[in-house]
Formats: sequence, structure tokens, C-alpha cells
Amino acid sequence: MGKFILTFFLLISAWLPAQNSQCNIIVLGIVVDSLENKALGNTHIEIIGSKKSANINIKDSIFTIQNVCGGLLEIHFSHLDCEHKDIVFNITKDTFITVYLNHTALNIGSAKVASKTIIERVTIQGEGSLKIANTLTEQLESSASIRALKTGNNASKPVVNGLHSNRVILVNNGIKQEGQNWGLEHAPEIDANFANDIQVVENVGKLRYTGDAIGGLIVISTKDIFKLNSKPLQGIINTIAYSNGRGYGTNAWLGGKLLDSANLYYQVQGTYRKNGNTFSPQYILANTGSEERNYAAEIGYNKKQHFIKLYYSSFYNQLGIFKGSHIGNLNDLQLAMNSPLPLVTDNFKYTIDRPKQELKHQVTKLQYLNKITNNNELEINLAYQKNNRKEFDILRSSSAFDGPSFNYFLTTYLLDVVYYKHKYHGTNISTGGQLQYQENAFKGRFFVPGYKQLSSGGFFSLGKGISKEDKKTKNYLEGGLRLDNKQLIAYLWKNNTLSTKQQNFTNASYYFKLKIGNQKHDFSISTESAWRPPSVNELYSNGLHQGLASIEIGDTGLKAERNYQTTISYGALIKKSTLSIVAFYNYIPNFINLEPSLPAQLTIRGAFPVFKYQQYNAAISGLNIDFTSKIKINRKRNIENHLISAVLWGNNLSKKQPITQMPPISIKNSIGYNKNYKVIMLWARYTFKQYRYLPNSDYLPPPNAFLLFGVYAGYPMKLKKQSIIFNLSINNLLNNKYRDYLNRFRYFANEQGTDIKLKISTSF
Amino acid sequence: MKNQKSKIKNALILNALIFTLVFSACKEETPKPQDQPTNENELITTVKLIFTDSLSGAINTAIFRDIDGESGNPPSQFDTINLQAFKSYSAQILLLDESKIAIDTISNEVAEEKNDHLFVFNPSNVNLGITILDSDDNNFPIGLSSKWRSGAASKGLITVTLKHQPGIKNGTATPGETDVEVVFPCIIK
Repeated sequence: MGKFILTFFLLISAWLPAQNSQCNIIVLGIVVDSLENKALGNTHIEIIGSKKSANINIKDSIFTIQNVCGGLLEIHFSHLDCEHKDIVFNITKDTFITVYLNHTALNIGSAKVASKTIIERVTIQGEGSLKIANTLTEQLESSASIRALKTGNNASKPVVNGLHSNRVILVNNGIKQEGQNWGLEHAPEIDANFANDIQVVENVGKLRYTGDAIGGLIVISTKDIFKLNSKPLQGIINTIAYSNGRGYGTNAWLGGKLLDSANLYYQVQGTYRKNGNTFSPQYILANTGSEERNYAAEIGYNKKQHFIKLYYSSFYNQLGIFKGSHIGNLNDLQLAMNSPLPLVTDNFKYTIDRPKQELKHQVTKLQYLNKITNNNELEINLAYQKNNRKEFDILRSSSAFDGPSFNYFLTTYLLDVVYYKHKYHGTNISTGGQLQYQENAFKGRFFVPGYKQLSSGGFFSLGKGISKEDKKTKNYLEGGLRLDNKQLIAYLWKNNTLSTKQQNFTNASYYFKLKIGNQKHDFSISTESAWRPPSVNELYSNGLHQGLASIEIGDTGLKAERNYQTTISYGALIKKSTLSIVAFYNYIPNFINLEPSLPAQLTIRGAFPVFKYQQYNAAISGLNIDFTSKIKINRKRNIENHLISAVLWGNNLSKKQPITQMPPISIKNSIGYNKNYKVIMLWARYTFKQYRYLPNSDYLPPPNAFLLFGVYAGYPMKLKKQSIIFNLSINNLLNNKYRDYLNRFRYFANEQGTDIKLKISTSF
Repeated sequence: MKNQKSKIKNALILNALIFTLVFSACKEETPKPQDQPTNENELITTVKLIFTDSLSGAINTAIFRDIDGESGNPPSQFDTINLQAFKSYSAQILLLDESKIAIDTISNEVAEEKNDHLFVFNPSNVNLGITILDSDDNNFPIGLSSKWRSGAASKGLITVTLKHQPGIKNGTATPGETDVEVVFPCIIK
């Protein structure tokens, strides 16, 4: 109902006449890099002949010039690294303008070098836009710190610096994603195609959304509706085809300014994608098809400093679980592991049978933004999320109940208020809080109980440039504190009687970072601490994990988990080459993990090994390297080389033994030509064998090291007003047979073979 | 006039957008957290072996019962098979789902889908000869009904396995998924 009133309000306000007085006009706008289609910071805007001017200091923000007199105005735009531009506008009313500048500087991909913004981020490298990713995790993998934890080929989730699931927070379109993210085989319900920008936050902005980002915070943003240019209709249509699994799909984005008389914008987006059984080098992987249908719509209204937008998105995904992985008991598992070929094989088909997952995630969000002045901003978000996860096990007989074996409903309401004050005595301040209410309920097989959870939290953060006036140094100090409270009521049914268990957790998080450097080098050190209460599955789960042949049992006595992380990083930008080295030590007292426990549990299907959630002191240390260099061939051409590598050590300090399931060392190198979307790059990735594991804690030892090759290429074309970009990407070029330690189906089958993907993007 | 047209067009787009935003969140019946969960999934909670002495007609049963399925509590009943030496028994298997108020006889479904199911008996350290009596449409054994011939007094184990082999049944235990596997202690006196 509330949603209806708000849309009604928007509907009414759309017909309000625009302001039209003499010297009372507001000119707003953004400056966009014409090459990258990204909003620029560090721009000076001046109305020639008047003394009116504005600056954009922070990337992605809007400039405002107030009290402008109407008429023909010549406006000057200048950016540090761009050509300067003078443009004439006929301005008669409050206007939002978008200006495209030719950004000539090198895109260094990360904001590590020379950033003054309070929310500093590490951008997923530019090649992300050229790669053709089916899943969000695939998109994220181009960052050195991120790896994919897979369950077959369809379900994959990001592992950030060795941690995943509840410890990696995903913020999608400004809202913390709330799904059943505790399960290893539960992939995030986010469409990678909708993402305009993906960032791994490495600054005090980590405290902005939650206090529990022990592993990391990933922020996924869609296009900002207020940064669309004022054409009534613009669009991007992508068509994708891929060979492995004979997949195809299309993704379209449309948007623009709806009314000439008012700043009313809209954007709509949709994705359809389908593939059938995928191929490994020797055999077809039975029941590995998937289908995705997503759409989103947004309307935004802006008047003076007020910005309102209403957003709705729906994500639907049906994915087959590899049939050869479905096992009844330990003997089946042994048989499946010993068999040289999977026990179940199939021909190619698109049909998705049991076992499968069916996911639906809906988000409705209302945002109000008040840019009180250039340096003062108030942001209010109201969001409603509904997540439904259905899992279908294999049926024992055709007459059995054919609905979902497990059907979970998670509903989340969020109120989020943040106030930003920039440049207050040289300091950037942000403060705010969140209030979130969540309900979980289920039908079918028990895994975690129904619960209600109320979370509240508030944060305060500061950032201050401590450079001298010469502007050659870029020293920056930032820090923040956050306090969170979580109240959890779980509803447990046993023998037809209900018992409730209540738990309450309150604790603080902090983040401090000092960065010193100049235009060419920078060095930073940060220290941070986050905490999270044990999640519902860690407290109460009690059930058989199909496909893993293990019984997982929670522990209601678990304490909150906390981490203390120190990160040292060095960044350099020398002659168009960039280097980033990040070393971290993450000490996690009371680390919660599933550990094998005796005795095995006797069931009607035989005895199953038991794993219990236990706590111990753990530490994860690692080193991430990202190095891009350009080798000049002649005056116009460069060869680009891009190397990423990550090394991780995870230790159980209490028992002085390694933590299992840590990503092994990996190195990826891409080399080729890359300029203005004309790209041809050849890459090779070498993944070492994981030697750090416990011999008796796993059914099979980690698989051998493997070397993969791939290619991606892009070619842009201009047809009248349309631009077309062709992208080609080939994964596993040599059709190598390999198994990945981070794929939970490595017990049963080889990874996918060669996959050739073609994407055609048309924009108008 | 043109203005009017574009206004109408825009109003239409706007209405379409609002329609999408408001009505696409259709309701599927969502349970409450505190509701007693319903589980329509079938469970096999109970394996009942019924032995009939071929001579005397005396009946003897051995039961494995785990009402809450694989998770939760350990089995509430787990009997030893007690047989007499040098006798012949006809054995029937009854599978039940006792987690529901109306107890479901799962073995009837096994009988209906006999072409997809196979019972396997593996005695170890007991002097027992087991012959399956029933067979499916393809002449492969089923195992709901079998003949057990005991030898000299001994103590050991018998593994009773039910394999679900939809479309892949070949008379051997290898293919398919295990639905039941209970290792009964067995004493022949």
C-alpha cells in the first residue's frame, strides 16, 4: 500500500509546472567521460561573462550553479585530463545538463592512486565491461582479491581474500542484499548485466552499510538515473551467444527523460538468458542447464536540490544441479568419486530436471536525496526485499510430492538514513544509520528455522586531506566508528511444540586508514575491525546436506565473531604503468567454521559424517598483486600487459593447522592490444595445487594444478547514430581437462571445456 | 498538437512504468516464521522386516525407525534380527513414512515402480542364504519378498539396501541412488 501512495505522489508531482523566473534558475549537471561513459570528478564549470562557477570535486557527483539568469549562456568546462570545452545553452528554466568530454588520461582502473574522495574504492578492472560474464561472480573474478566458490557451473559466489558467504557483504543498488546467503551453493541473486559499476570498497565507506563485512564489501551500482542525458529515449541492446551449453541471451536497457517540462527520468532493463547441458572435454554434464529472467524499472524526479527515485527489480533464475553429484549416502559418494566417468550422463538438452534450484528475488526501493548545498547531502532509503529460494531434490518415486523439497521465504524491510558533509574545514564527514527488520519462514525440509531479526546500527566517519598547499602530495587520513545491535528470535518446532529462542548482540566496528603519496606513488596502511553475530544456520541448522553427504549441526552457544585486519598497500603510476601491491593480515578470534565431528550419525540411508559449527582463533594473511604495463611499439600503438596474482594462507591458530577450502595461489596474465574498445588480449591463468589442507578432513585430496588459456577481443563500429561493439571471448581455449579445488563438484566431474562467447552491443 | 501527442505518449509510458512497479510484486502465499512447518516431502522413516517361519508359520519382526528422518534425533528403534538355526523363512519388507498423521506405506510405491527399484541383501559373518522371490517386468529381481535360509548358529550383520534406479536398472546394485541402507545386527541361535 505504501508503495502505491508513493507512486501516486510521483505521478502528481510529475505534472507540477517547472519554475520559470528570471534570475532564479538552477543549472545542474554532470560531466561524463565520452570514452568510458563515466561521470568525471575534478572539473571546473564556469558561465562565461558572469562570475558564476562550480566545481565537481568528487567523482560521480553533480554540479549546481544557482541564481542563474536565463538566456543564451556560454559555459566553459575544464577537466585536468581532458580537452576543455565551451558550449552554448539556451537556458530558460531549471535545467539538468550532461556534458561529454574527451578524457585523454589513462584509465588506471583503480582509485588507489591519487584519490581524495571519502568513499575510495577499488574498481573491478575495466576489462570487466568487455568480458562476457554470465554471473556476478564471474564478473568479479577479474580482481586479484576475488575468487569464485562454485557448486557445479551454475551456482557460484565470490570469495574475497579467502572469506565468503555471511562474511562478504553485497550491496546492490544501495541496498544490502538479503538472501539465504549462508549456503555454499547459494549464489547471489543479482543480475551482473544490470551492474553499471562494481566496486570492492577499501576505505572507511566499509562502515556505511553494515558492521559485519569481515571478508569484504562489494558495491554494485546500476546507472544513476539522474545522470542520463535529456534525450527521451536511449538504449543499449546486448545479444549474447555462447557455445558451451549452447547458450543465448539478450539484455536491454532503455532510459531517458520522460517530460520536457519536468526533470522526470525513467529507465527499464531486462535480461533473458538460457543454456542447456554444458560440456566438459570428454562428456556432457547432465542437468546443468539454466535459465534467467530479470527485469527492473526506475523512475526519478528531480526538482531543485530534491531527488526522488523509485526502483523495482525482479530476479528469477532456475538452475539445474549436475545429476552425477546427487548421492543417497556415503557408498554412493564413494562410487561416484571412484568412477572415471560420471555415473549419470546425458545427451544435450535444455530441459532442467530435478535436482534444481529456483530463485526469485524482488527489491522495491524508494530513495530521497536532498543536495542541500554543494557540500551537504541527505540520503534516505526505504527498501523492501523478498527472497524466495526453492530447492528440488531427486524424487524417490514418480508418485511422490513433486513440489520443492525446501522452500524458504525471506522478507526484509530497511530504513537507511545518511548525511554527508563534504569539505567542512577540509574534512569530509558522513554519518547515518540503518534499521532493518527481517522475517524468515519455510515449508518442506528443515534446514534453518523460521526467525525474526531486528538489526539497528549507526556510524560516523571522517576523512581529511592532510596535504600541503603544493598539491603534489596526496596525503589522506580517514576513520570511522560503527555500533550495531541485532536481536534474533528463532522459532523451533519439535514434536508439535513450539519453542522460541532469543538472542541479542551489540558491538562496535571501526576503520582507520592513512595514505601518503604523490601523483606517482602512494602508500597506505589501514586497521579495521568488524564483527558479526553467529548466523541462524550456524546456531540452529540441523540437517543433511544433499550432494555433500554430510550432516551439519549448529551450536546455540556460539559467540559473535570478530576480526582485526591490518592492510598495507603500495600503488604506483609510472609512465602509464600501474602497480598495486596489497598485503593483509586478518586475525579472527572466535572464527566460526564447520569442523568434522565424531561419531557419524546413523540414518535410514546409512551413517553420515557429522560436521559441527565450532569456534577457534584463526588468521588469514595474503598478498594481492595487480600490475599493468604498456610497452610502446610505435607512436600510436601499445602492447598492454596485465598481471594479477594472489597468495593466501589460512591458519587455525588454536590447533596450529591450516584452514581448509582456502583458494590456492593463482597467477593470471593477459597480454595484447587494448585501445578505445579495440581489443585483442590473450590470457593465461595458472592455478597451483592447494597443499595446505588437512589430510583427513576431506573425501579427496585437492586436485592438481592447472593452466588455462583464453582470448578476448572487441571491435567497435559506428553506424550513423548507433554504435555497435562486437565482443568475443574464449575460455579454456585448449579444451583442457581440469578440476578446481574451489568447485564443490570436483569430486564428481571435470570442469567445462572450451566456451566461445559472442556479444553484440548496440547503443543508440 | 504535437505537444499534446507527446504528452499523451509520455503519460502512457509513465502509467506503464507505474503499473510495473506496483503490480509486479504479486503475492505468493508466504508462511509466518512461527508457523509449524509443513513438509509434504516423503520420508522413509521405518523399515520393517517380517519373517514367517515356513514350517510353523510363526511371525518375527525387526524394525528400524527414525521418525524425524535424517536430521535431528537418532533412530528411536533399531532391532536385531533374531533367527533360528537351520530354518527357512519367507521375508517381506514394509517401508513406512510415519512422520505424517496418515501413515504412508512407501513399499506400495516401490511395488508399483518395481522396474526402478532393487533391494540388495548383504550378510556378513552370518550363515544365511537369501534368495529374492519377486521380479519386475524385465525379469530383474525386486526384493520386497525373499526367502532366507539359516545355517549354523552365528552372529553378524545384514545390510539391507534399496536402490532407486529409474530407467537404469540392470539387476546389479551399482547404478542409481541409495534410498535405504540399514545394517541390521543378526543373531542365529
